[in-house]
Amino acid sequence: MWFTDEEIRTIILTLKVALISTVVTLPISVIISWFLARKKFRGKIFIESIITIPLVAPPVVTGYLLLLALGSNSFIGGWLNSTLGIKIAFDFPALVIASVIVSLPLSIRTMKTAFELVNPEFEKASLVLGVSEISTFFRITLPMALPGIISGTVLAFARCLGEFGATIVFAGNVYGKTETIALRVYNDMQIPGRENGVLRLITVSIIISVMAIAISEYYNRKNRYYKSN
Amino acid sequence: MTVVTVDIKHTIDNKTFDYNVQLDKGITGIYGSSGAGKSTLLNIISGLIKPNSGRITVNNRCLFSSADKCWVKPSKRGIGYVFQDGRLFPHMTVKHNLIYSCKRSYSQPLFANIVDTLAIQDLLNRYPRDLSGGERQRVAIGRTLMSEPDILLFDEPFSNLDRNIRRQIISYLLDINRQYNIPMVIVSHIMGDILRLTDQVIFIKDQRVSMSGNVKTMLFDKGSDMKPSSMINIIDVKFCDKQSNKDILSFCSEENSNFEIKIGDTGEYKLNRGDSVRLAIRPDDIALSTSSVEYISIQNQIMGKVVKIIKTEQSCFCIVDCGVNLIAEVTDKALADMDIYTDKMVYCLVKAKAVEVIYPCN
Repeated sequence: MWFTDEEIRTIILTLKVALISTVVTLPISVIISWFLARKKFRGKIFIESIITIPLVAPPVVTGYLLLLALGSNSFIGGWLNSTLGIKIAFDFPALVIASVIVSLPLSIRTMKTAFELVNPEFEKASLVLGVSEISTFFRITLPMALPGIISGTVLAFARCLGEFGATIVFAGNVYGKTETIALRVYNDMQIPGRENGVLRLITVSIIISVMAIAISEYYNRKNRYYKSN
Repeated sequence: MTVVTVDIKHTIDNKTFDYNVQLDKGITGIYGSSGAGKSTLLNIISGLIKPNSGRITVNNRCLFSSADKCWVKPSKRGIGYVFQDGRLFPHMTVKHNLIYSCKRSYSQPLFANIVDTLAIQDLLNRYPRDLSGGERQRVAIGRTLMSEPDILLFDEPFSNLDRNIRRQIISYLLDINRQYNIPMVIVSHIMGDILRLTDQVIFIKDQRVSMSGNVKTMLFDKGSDMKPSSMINIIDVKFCDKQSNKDILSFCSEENSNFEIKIGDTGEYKLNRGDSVRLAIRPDDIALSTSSVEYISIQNQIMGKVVKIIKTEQSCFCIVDCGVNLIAEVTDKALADMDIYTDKMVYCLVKAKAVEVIYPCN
C-alpha cells in the first residue's frame, strides 16, 4: 500500500491540524470542565448547553456560524485581515478553529466527568495539611482526574482527525491548503479511478481512530479504578 | 490552659449550630449521637466550613471573627485533621502521603520518629489500596503529624475498625500525646473509646454544647445528661509488682497509692516496676459485696464507700470511693437485697481477667 505524495501531504496536514487543535483544546477544556464540575453558579445549565451545541447541532451549522463570526466580511475577521493581515476563513487557521470548536464539547464532557469522580474530600484533606488551593489542584485533583483528561484529549484528537462538516463550510476544500483526509476522501470518491487512493486514506483514518479510542478506553478504565479506591 | 476558643453560630439547611467551647491542652473528647453536630464543629475549627457569625481563636491567634472581618484559610491554620476514613491520596505511596505537606525538603528526624512511633516502616512503599483499615488510619495520623500542626482534630478515628485495632489506635494516640504534647480533640459516638483517652469531654446535643468538663465530676451533677450506662472505669496506674505470682500483676493508682489492683498476664508485653499503663473496667464487670469473701477466685476485693447511687430504667449504678471512684452496675433487686445505700462500706469484686490494659506503644 504505497501512498502518493499528495496523499502523504494530506495525511501530514490532517495530523498537524489535529495535533495543534488538541494542544489548544486541552487547557481550555481542563479549565472549563473543572469549573463546571466544582463550582455552583447561576446559569450553569445554560453555559453547559451553549458548550454542547457543536456536539448536537449539524456541523454545517457550526461552520456557517464560524463563517459569520470570523469570515472576511465579519467584524472580527475583517479587522484581523485589514489590520494584522491575518486571514482566517478558507485558510489553515480556519481548519484549527473549526476542529477546536467541534472537539471542545467532547473533551469538556469527558473531563468534567473525570473531575466529578475525584472526591472533593481529598482536596479538603490536602487543604488542612497546609497545602494551597492551586498546589492542591496540581498535586491532587489533576493527577486523580488524569486518566479522564487523557481520555478526553484523545477523543478530541480523534474528533479533529475526522472533522468534515464545519471545516468544509468554514475552511473550504482548497487544494494543497485545507485539504484534510476527510475532505480529500469526499473529493476523490466523486472522481472515477481514485477508488484505491480513497481506500488507502480510509484505512489510515480507521487505524488512527481505533488507536485513539483504545487509548481513551484504557484511561477511562483507570479513572473508574481511582473512583473505586 | 485554654488553647482553642470557639464561639460561633452557623445555619445549614435550617439547622442552627451554636457552639461555645473552650479546648484545653491535652486530650478533649467530643461525644454525641450521630447527626448531633460533632463533625461540623471540627469542620468549623479547621476552616472547612465558614460560620455565619462569631469568633474562633487558637493560641490567641484569630482564625475567624465576623466582627473583625478575620478569616484564615484552612491551609494557613496549622490545624491537623485526621478524617474518619483516613483519606489517604490513592495515587501516592505511603511515604509520599506522609511527606505530602512538606515543601521541597522534610525533617528526617521527625519523619523517622513518626514512622517509628506508628510502626509503619514496612508500609512506606505500599499504596493505600494495599493497606488494612488500621494501617490506613495510622498512616493518616502520621501524615497529619508531618504537617507539624498546633492542634490535632480526629473525626471518628475508630469507626470501621474492629475492637483490637481500636485499642491499638488508642494506644498510638496516647503515645503521640505524650511524645508531641499537641492538644488533641477526638470526636466519637462511643463513650468508651473517648474515656480510654481522656476524661475531659464535651457533650454535643442538637447542634449545641449540652455540657462539658470532667465526666466523673459530671456524674455527680444534678440534671446532668451524663448517662452512667455509657461510662467505663478508667484508672491510670503504675506497675508496682507486689504480687509474687507471675501470672498476676499488681498495679497502684497514680492518683492514690493506696488503691491497688491486680490484673492477669500481660502476654508479650514486658513491664518494669514504675511503668505507667491505663486500665479500663466495664461497670458490669464489677460486683458488689457487703463483706469480704473467702475462698473466691476473684483476685480483687477492693473496699470502698458508696458515694452515689444512680438509678436508670435498666439498672442501678453505684459510685464507690475506693481511693479512686469505681462505678459498679448492679440490679435493683441486688441493691434492695443487700441494703446498699449512700455512705455504706462495700467491697468491689473485680476479676483480674476483666481488667483491660491499654499499654503504651513504645
